[in-house]
Amino acid sequence: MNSPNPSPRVGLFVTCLVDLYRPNVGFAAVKLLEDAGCRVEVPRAQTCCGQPAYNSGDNEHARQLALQVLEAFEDFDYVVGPSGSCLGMIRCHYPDLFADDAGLKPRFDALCGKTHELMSFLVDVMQVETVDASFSGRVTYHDSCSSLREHAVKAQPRQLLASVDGLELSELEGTDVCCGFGGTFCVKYPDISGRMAADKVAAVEASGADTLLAGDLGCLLNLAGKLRREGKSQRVYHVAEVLAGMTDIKSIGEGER
Amino acid sequence: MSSAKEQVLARIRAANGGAADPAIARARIEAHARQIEPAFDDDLADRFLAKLEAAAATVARVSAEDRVVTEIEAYLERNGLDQKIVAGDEAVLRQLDWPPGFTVEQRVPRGDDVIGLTSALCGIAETGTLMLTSAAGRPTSLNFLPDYHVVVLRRAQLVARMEDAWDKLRAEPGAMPRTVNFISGPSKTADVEQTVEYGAHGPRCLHVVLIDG
Amino acid sequence: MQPNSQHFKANATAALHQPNLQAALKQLELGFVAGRARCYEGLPEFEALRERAESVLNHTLENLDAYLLEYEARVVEAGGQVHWASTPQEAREIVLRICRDADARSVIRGKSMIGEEIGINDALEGAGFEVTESDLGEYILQLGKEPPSHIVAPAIHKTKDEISDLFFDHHQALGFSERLTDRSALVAEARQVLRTRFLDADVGMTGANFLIAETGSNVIVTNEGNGDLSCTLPRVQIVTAAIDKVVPTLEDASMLLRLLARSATGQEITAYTTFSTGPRREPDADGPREYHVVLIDNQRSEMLGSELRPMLRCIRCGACMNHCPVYGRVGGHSYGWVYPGPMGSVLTPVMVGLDEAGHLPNACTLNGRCETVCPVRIPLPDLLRGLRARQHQQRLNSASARWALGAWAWVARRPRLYQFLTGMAMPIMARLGRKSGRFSRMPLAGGWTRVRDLPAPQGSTFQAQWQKRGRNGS
Repeated sequence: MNSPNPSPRVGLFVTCLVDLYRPNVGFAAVKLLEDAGCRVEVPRAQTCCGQPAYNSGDNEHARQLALQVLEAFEDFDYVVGPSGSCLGMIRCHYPDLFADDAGLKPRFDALCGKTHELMSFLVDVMQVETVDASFSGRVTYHDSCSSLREHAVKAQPRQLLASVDGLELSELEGTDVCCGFGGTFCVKYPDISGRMAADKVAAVEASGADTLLAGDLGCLLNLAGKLRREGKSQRVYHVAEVLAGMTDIKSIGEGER
Repeated sequence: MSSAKEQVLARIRAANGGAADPAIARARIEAHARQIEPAFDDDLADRFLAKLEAAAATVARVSAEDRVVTEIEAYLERNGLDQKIVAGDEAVLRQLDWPPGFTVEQRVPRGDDVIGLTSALCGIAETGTLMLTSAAGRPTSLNFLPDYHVVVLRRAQLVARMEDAWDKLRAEPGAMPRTVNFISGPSKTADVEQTVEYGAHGPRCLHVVLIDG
Repeated sequence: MQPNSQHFKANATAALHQPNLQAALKQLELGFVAGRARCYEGLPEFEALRERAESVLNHTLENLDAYLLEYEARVVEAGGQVHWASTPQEAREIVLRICRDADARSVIRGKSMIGEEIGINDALEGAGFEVTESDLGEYILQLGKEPPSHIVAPAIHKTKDEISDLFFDHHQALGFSERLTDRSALVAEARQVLRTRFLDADVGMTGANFLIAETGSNVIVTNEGNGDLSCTLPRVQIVTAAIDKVVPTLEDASMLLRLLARSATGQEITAYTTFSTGPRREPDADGPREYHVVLIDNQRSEMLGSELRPMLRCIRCGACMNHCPVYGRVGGHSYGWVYPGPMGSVLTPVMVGLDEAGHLPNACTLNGRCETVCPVRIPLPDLLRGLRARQHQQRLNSASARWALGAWAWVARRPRLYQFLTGMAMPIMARLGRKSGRFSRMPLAGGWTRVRDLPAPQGSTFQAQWQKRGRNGS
């Protein structure tokens, strides 16, 4: 493990879903990073990582947005964000998009080398072992496909959750199986996506948990939406909100009590 | 040269940016280097028989060649079978001294023969696999047509892995036999509701007799 | 078979509402997925095997012309014949010619996907030959006139009841008067019926799991012993095989066999693995008198020169579909052609056309589970994304989708404008959704709200709040 710079300068990649839908996750990420000793900045010149274009085969627009990210973030020590998916786009796919560009490829490779999903960054890079938070309830955790497969995030959130006061973790059956979000897939193939989400909701019920956590807002919006549609009562939070002790607001998709 | 052949090769060469050097392919073939082989250190006979049993074959160990006939007799009796056998023409089988009452024929089997008796070139311990090769006295159909396939082999015929079996085959006189069968259990199918049934087309039962002496 | 891939969406929706299919697909997960996992737990060399398999197959592809020529030379030395075919049409014509030249009447087939790919059964039947599929699953489908729904377990979608009916309907004429309901009895009856066909067949056709350049052998892998009988009893053997099936040596095949059955069915090795080399030798007791190999390209040489090249490593184990959450919900028929699941979503657009099969590369969440289980490390999600890029370049995706992407990207490249617009919109949307916390309907989001609610946003955007708090930004 690399020995960490005790107070690195971190550029927070907020992600568009967090920016638009759940700013609380962004502030939770800032708190966790600052608690770990980081100096956090949020470049204003960020919107989206370009993944919707990339996954739709529109590589030209994806490249343009990648360049925007590169320019906004390449001067930081690290680029970190609360999403395996968006940070995976930067880390795993930007270099491919510029594979034939001798001028830009090295810059993207360098960016890739310092880009991390939040849980992975806290535990693997900053070597955070515990957090100071409490949450009363029985939670279950859904591994987002991109966190699991693009960042090898599996143990890290569980390790941190274990230090949250009052929290009990009940594992989800089939936690390595996709929830059915899949970006534009979920609106292009709603029936298949809906069945995948329904199966995941059934697994959440079977886990006996009262709260569902995950590290990607795409999965969380999909699953919160399915839980609400089916009239279920489980609360849904981003794992960063729980770890930062910022669960005093309504959970995702929750109405007025 | 057929035109389709020329076209296919031309497209392959265009895709690969030119024709491959035949010497590279030939050198790799001649070296036939072994690739990754899983490690294990069990006794070859123990592993070979345990793997076969795990694949629903039955096995027997006998101490010497003169115990083979007794074992086969007992096997036929256990399974309520007539003492009518179609056998391959192989050294280890030729030496067997069949008691009165047995009919043992050396011929190509018919569709309704019940018991086939063969030996094997070798047994592979890694996976519990028999390697059988075709020849004048060794019809391949004997390995597949009869309901019961009884295979007799000596402990000295056991090898660790399929790669060792290839070496053994390369050491035999003559070219690659027309057919090499690797057999690792009785015939089975799971095509009806994903549930295993034995005896789909080949033998319902595979019985391996290992001469341990 | 006629492709039906453009109806993927309707096929899938129908499949989601077939309880028998859904039960079978659940069972597949329990059987194949769990079996595979158990198998690899006992094999610490798994990752090393995958890496080596990948490099051996890459080497073979780099020298494919040389290995094919070596292979052909060895087949000819062994007394066999090799026929080359660029297209399925050419391949069918070659097979028909061989059958006619041999004065054949009946053909017995061992299961092969390339046979499905080139539509050989229809061609043979159309030319008056009697064709019998000998793999039990394929035989069931032949009676039911259906295509396979899985490359390893073709009849996975059929229930025992349906099989009972099919056998009862078709076997009465052969003297079987009882409708059987017991699984063993069904298998035994099929064995009896097919045994006669094996013994009567003039031609035996199989595919090849591998072709060995070193020896000119073709390799087939079965559990039933059907392919093995198909290439032993008839007087003529025809092997149909794609050009990407060749591997250099017996040792290479042995290594790949370690991966194949484990990945496919969770077995260390199948009951039967058979290497056939040429026709029977003069003194041999049995075996075919003629041995033919039809080497088929069908777009593979084009794939070799494209970003889809890694797909040519595929050993057809089916692990990608067994682990695919989409295949696991909609089954193989939804994909509308021979190859389903992730590997099929790469191959089908290449073989039947990207316009016909345009859904397939998109009907994937890019979750990557297939890639992690692929024994030869094919980056399936990347390949599917590559096909999406082709669709975009060829303007095969919808005009509205292209327009939406363009408009969104135009705004996303202007952060101040983007933040101004979203800063206005999100608080309004939050206010509208505050009471219930969600929307059950939303204009332009029908695909989302058809099956789930849309959670309401929290309020002001993160960027707006961050600016207001006067935190640093650049």
